[in-house]
Amino acid sequence: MFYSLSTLLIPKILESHTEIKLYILHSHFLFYTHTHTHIYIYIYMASIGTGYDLSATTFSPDGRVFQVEYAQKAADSSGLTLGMCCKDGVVLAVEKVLLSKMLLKESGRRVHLIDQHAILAVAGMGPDGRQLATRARQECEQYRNIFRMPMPAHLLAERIAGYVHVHSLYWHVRPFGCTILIGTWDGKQGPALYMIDPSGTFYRYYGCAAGKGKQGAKTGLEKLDFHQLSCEDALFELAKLINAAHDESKDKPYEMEMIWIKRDLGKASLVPPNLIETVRQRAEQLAREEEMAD
Amino acid sequence: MDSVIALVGKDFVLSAADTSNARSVIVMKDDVDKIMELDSHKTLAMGGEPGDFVQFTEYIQKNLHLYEFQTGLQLSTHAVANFIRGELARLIREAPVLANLLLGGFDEVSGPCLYYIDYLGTLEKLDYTAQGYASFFILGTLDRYYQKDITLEQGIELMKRCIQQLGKRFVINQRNFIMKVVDKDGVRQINFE
Repeated sequence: MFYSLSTLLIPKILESHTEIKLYILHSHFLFYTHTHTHIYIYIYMASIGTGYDLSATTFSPDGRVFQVEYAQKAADSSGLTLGMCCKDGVVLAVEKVLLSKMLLKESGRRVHLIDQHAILAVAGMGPDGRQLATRARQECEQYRNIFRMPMPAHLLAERIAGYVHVHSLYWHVRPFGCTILIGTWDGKQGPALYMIDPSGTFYRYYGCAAGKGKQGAKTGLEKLDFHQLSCEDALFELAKLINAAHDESKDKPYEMEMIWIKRDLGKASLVPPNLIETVRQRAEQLAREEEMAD
Repeated sequence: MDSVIALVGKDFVLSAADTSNARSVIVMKDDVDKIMELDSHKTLAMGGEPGDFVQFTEYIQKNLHLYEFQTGLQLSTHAVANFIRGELARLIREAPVLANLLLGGFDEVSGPCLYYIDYLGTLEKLDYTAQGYASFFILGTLDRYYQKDITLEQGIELMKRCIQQLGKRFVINQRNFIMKVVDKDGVRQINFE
């Protein structure tokens, strides 16, 4: 009964579109009126991936999965997130936008400790990133239980990437709306940095950026020599990049969150707040001086 | 009953095992190789129930190969020892495997190391040890003559002394022994006598 109703509705709402025919097929499997009408309103308003973007299980004719691309847009809309390998460790930094003056600083953390040798930073939806951090912790713990050794970097990255990817395969879950950076320090192989995006693609980097302003940050990172920089130098460089990406007049105030694994410390830890403050002041001072010099 | 002995030298791990498979009064086979090569730089000398230890050590070996194919990494001896121990500890309360093992390996980072693993899931890192009835006779010999950082020649001499002691005092006549060494160049068999 509802199927015949919907065939009457189509010509009234829209001109003939090839995409819309798909919806008729799709509606074949729906049995509730309210969802029928809901869908048709959506067609009328949708413009980008019209028709092919309702679920992660649908490809578009030009071979894209729109849900995953939308997830990537969600990941790109957060504050700048940077990661960098140094000669004696790995450093991750996040520009956390403070939405309100009433917010307590250091709450709603976007950098996470995964294991003694692994750290993780989130660009995009914080809760999604927290879920991935929990999963990463479970993977590392399980590996340690079996082998009594820290999990190798590329294995951890592969597992988490696989987990992220799996959420883009099914209709009843949504992809993660965050890009995560995983940094590890291995006694034998040294520092490793991986970036995993919502599609589950991951690469290993010397330095990488995600979130708003990542293009400028990537250019900045390319100028650095990772084999020469120490972790403290890296903190300063990352602070400079975040400062450069942040527009004082337009953007909201932000907090810098940093986390590192330094060879001397032996294990992963959050960078002390006073050290972040020092580094940030230096970076802002340097930016002011450069502005005045121009 | 199987005699398995192993010791750690300067930059190698030497393992020896008897080569007979006997049941009550019959020797069924006298050229059994009870020292399995888990990968290029690890040996697993086994003793206990013949079916159990072969089945279990092959399972371990295949799992390690699978890990290597999947990840491109060879596990360290420490990791393998803990993996084996975990499996035995799990199995003791499900389907006990009577396998007593001596894992010897050479890692680039930590050098030679020897692990004693028994069928209950006991794990110990040791410099020299033995499994089976041999331990009753040989631990004393090794206590007396073993020194840290011995060379391969001294190690082989010490092992020969242990085997002679077994021949002298152990009621079961174990005619043949096989000896294998692991060092930075990998695993190879030692011909002695």
